[in-house]
Amino acid sequence: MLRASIVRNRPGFRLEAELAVDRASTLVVVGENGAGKTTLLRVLAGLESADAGEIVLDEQVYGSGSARPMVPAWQRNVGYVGQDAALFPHLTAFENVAFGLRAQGLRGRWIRTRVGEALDRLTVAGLAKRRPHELSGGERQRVALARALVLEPALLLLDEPLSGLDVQTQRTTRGVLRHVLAEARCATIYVTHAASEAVMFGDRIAVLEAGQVTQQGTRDDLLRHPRTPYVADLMGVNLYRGTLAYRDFAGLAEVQTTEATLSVVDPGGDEDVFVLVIPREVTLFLERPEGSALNTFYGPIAELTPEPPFGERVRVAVDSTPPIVAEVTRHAVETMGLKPGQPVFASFKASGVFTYR
Amino acid sequence: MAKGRLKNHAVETIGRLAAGVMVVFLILPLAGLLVRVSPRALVARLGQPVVLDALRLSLLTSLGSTAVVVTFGLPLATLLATRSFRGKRLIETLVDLPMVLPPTVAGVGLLLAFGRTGLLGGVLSVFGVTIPFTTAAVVLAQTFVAAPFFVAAVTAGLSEIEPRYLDAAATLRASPATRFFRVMLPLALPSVVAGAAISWARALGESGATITFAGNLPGVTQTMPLAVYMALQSYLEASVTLAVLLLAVSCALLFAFRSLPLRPLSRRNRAASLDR
Repeated sequence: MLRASIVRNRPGFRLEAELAVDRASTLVVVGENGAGKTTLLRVLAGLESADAGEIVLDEQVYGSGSARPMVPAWQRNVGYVGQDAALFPHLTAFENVAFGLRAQGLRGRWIRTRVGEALDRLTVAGLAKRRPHELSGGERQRVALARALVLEPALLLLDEPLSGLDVQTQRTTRGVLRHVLAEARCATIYVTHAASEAVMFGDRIAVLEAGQVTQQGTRDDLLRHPRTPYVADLMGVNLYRGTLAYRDFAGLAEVQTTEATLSVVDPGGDEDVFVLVIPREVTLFLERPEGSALNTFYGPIAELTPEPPFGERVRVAVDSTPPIVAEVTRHAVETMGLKPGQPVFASFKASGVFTYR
Repeated sequence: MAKGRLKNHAVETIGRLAAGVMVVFLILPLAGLLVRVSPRALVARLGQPVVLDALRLSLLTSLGSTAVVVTFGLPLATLLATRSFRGKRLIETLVDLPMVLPPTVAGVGLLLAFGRTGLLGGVLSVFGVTIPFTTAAVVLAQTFVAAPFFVAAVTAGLSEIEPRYLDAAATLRASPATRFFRVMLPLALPSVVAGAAISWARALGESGATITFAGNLPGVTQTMPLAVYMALQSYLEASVTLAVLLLAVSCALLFAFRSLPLRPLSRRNRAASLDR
C-alpha cells in the first residue's frame, strides 16, 4: 500500500500531488502532456527529488523532501517501466530480466527459474535468447515488464506503457497487461493521457492538470460527476456549471451559467451546481424544435467524429454558446445531411440532465 | 554566364589537381619503404639483434604504458563523463594538452619533474629510485603522450550513454558500482577498446619525449622509432626493416578501427528502434 504526498517546485511549474494506492489495485493518473505525470513517477521511483512530502510504501518511509534524506532509487522496492522499454542493448531478453536478480547477488538455478516464470507470465518465454534490437516494440515492452515484475516490487510504476506501440500491438499488449495487473499483488500506478486506458486499467483514477490533482475517484465517479472541463472532456460528456436561479412548482428549476440558462429537474438547495449532459441525450434538429422542458442551443457543427469500432454512432460537436456535443446515429447524420459548418439546433430535455454539487 | 561556367570549371580542375598531389605525397613515402624490401628479406632480417632488441623493448613498453593509461585513464574519463565539479574545464584542457604539445617539450618537462633534481625526482632519489634514462622512463614518456587519446575517446563514449539505461538499472536495484560495471562499461566498451588501441599506437610511435627523457640506450630505452632513426645512419637495411614493421602495425590498427563497431552500443540500438 502506498501513501504519498509530493511537492516539487521548479520555475514555472509546481507539482503537488497526494495519492494513495492499495495493494493489488491500480491507480491510473491521467493528464495531458506536460501535466507532470512523468515527473510524479520519477519522484516516486527515486530518480528525481521532491522539495517536500513523504512517500510511505508498506511501512517503509522513503521520504523525499528536505525533512528526510532521499532514499535512492536502487534502495527502493519500486519497479518502473518507462514509455520506452529501455532494455539494455548489450544483454539478451533473459539477461535483461535477470539483471535485477543478479544485482542483488542471486546466482544460478534460482535465477533461471524466476526469470523463466516472469518471461512466461508475459508470454515472451520463447524470446529469451533474443537481443532487444531483435524484438518488436510490443515484445520489448513485455520483456521490460517482466524485468520489473521479477523483483516483486511493492509498487509498480508504468509510464504510458502502450503509447509507443502501433494500434495492433497496443491491443495485444493491452490484453497481456490487463491479465498481469489483475494478478499482481503490488500497488500499481499507471500513467496515461488516454481516457480509454484510464477507464480500462484504473480501479481508481486521478486526474492531473498542470501539476495538480483536480479529481480522484472510481471511473464511475468521474463519468457521472466530473468536476472540471478537462475531466468531462476526457469522459466525453458535456459539463456546465451555474447557480440555481429560479424554480417553479412543477419540480423544474433553472440554472444560470455565464453563457446560458438551463432548464433542469429541481435538485433542491440553492448553491452552485454542476450540470451534466450525456451526448446520447442530445438530439439535433435543422428547424427549431418545440417543447416546454427543452433546452436548445444553436450553432454551426464544428466536427463530426465516428465512434469506434464501426462508426455506427457519430459524435457531433456543435459550436454553440456554450458548446455542446451530441451523439447521434450514422443514419441520422446521413438523412439530415450533417456536415461541418452547418448550423443546427441541439436540444435536450430537462429530465435528461444530471445535476450535482 | 559562359565566363562563370569556365571559372567554375577551372576551380574544379585546380581543386582536383591539388587533391591528387596531396594523395600522391601521402602515398609516396609508404611506397618508398615497401619497394625497398621484399617480404622474404624482411622476415630474414627480423632476427638481427638491433631489430630484435628494439622490437622487444617497444612491445614491452607500449603495452606497459597502455596498461597504465587504461588503469588510471578509465576512472578519470568516468569522472569527466558523469560528474560536474568546479575546475572540470581546466582539467579537461590540461588532459588534452599533451596531444598538441611538441613531444620534446614533454620530454624536458618529464625530466624536470622526475629528474634527480626535479619536483618529484628529489623525493624518489631518497628512496633510491632513479627514473630518467631507464625503461621505466620510456613507459612514463609514452604514457604522457598517449593518455589524452584514451581519456578523450572513453569520455566521449561514456557521455553518449543514454540516461534511460542508467535510470532503468537504478530501478532494478543496481548500486552505483553495479551500474558502472554492468551497464556503463559494457555500453562504452567499443570506445574503451578504440581508445586503448589509439593510445597503444601513439605509444608505439613515440620518439621525441622518449629520447629527451629516457635517452637512446640499445636494449634499455632504444625503442623501434629511435632504432629506425639511429640505424638510418649506420645500417640502412635494419632501419628499413623496422620502419616497414611499424608501418604494418599502423596499417593493421587503422583497418581494425575502420571495421570495428566504434559507435557505442546505445547509439546503434537507438537507430535500430527508430527503424520500426
